[in-house]
Amino acid sequence: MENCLKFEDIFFSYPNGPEVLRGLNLQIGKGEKIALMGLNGAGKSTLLLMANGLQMPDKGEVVVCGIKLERKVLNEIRRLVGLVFQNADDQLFMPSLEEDVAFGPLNMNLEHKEVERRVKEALESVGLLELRKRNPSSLSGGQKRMGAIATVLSMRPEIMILDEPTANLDWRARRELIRVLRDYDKSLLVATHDLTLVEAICNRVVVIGEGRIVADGATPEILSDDESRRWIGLEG
Amino acid sequence: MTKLEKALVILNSLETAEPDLRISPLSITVVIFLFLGFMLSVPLTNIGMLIWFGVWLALIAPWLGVSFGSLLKPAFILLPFITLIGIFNPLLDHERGLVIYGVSISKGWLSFAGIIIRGLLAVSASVMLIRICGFRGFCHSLNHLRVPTYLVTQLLMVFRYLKILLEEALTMRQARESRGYGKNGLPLRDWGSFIGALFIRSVERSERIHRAMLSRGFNGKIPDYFNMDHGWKKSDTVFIIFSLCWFLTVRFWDIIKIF
Repeated sequence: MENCLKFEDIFFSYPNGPEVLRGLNLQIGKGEKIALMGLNGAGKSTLLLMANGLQMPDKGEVVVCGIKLERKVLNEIRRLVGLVFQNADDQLFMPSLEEDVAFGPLNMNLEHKEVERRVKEALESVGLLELRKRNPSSLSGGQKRMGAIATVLSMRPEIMILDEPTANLDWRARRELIRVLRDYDKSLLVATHDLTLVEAICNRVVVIGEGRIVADGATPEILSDDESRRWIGLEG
Repeated sequence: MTKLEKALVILNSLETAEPDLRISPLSITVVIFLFLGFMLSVPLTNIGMLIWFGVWLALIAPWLGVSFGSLLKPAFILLPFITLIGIFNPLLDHERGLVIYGVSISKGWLSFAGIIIRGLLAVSASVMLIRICGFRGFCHSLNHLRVPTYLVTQLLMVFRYLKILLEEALTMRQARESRGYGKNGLPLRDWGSFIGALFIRSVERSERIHRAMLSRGFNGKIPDYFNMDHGWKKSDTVFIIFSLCWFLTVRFWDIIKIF
């Protein structure tokens, strides 16, 4: 299977902090939907930031669709990797929802008609087309989360990465989110603690512990393995 | 609605305001810049000239759909700061400036009054500009006037940062009230830590938002989705010519002396 994202021997530590990632290796194939699990502080969010070039590893390589992550190719990397942040309020910063969704395609220097088309498609796919003119701060939590996803969908990345997408969502919003992610036809990497989400959309689970991959396999296999469950915090 | 919430509503409305279609944002921006330039160049003690600038503002504002009174309100909020600028002038300058019905008014008092009027007019004109153009329309006009892109982006960022600051202040206020057991206001001793925490939270949030912008290809310029080009109409030319004639006449021809 062709890789769309590869982490090779990644080492990283924050300034004055402990080593967060120690020799981590991970490959994500095209079309795979992967759950990234682990305890708080395991390094999940740090890894996601690296995939988009927002954090550079101290050692090792990140390769996105054959392009090695370097500062000079950050624009290209960010077209290929769409990152949905944990807090939707951080992702929605324009005066209206449609401007937020248009932000990415406009930065890609696309024609205005193409941008409008992508905005409409992205908002339709998350069921928010009628709210396009609304100020994002007036949306509900679930609507903001969908809006944040739409801001990335409009860029049509090769891989969409989500950090705790179901946090603070009610059951209805969660079901809606699962529907959207299930229909997404490209690669997906989701950092999550939500087992419902994992079982519904991910065919593979990767567990991070002590800065490296400690388990990697099919979803039913990993979630039923005692050692993996311990690393996720499901012991007892 | 609390004052913080009202301020947030006002900021949101300023950001999304649709420009007046009678004249383009570019022409009103140019005229207001000319207004400020001419008005601020008036000699320090010449109150009469300043009053004529105020008359222009009072005539133009209703024509553009804004009440003059509503422009003065934000100006009066800043009055204490404007007053501080010239507060020592009456004490330092006792030279006779004007005699009205036998009452002598020193140049110190005239310059003090001039500073206050200038401040009120400058703030009112700036508020009118933003109210009519919307903040984005104003920034679009600056782009047209070839102001460096990074400066314009900085202005937009400052405006957005104000919103973040208010939102964080609101969140902190709500958190405090929920544990305040009915006590109103913040004790003086707590203001320092409140402001420090507010600053740190707003900076951290700004950093997260900046990351989100970078992750979607932000390259230093905030892109325009809506077409802000309203074209140039005859009314724009007439407006600029009329205003320029007014400013030149008032500035270089002391009309008060005629009367």
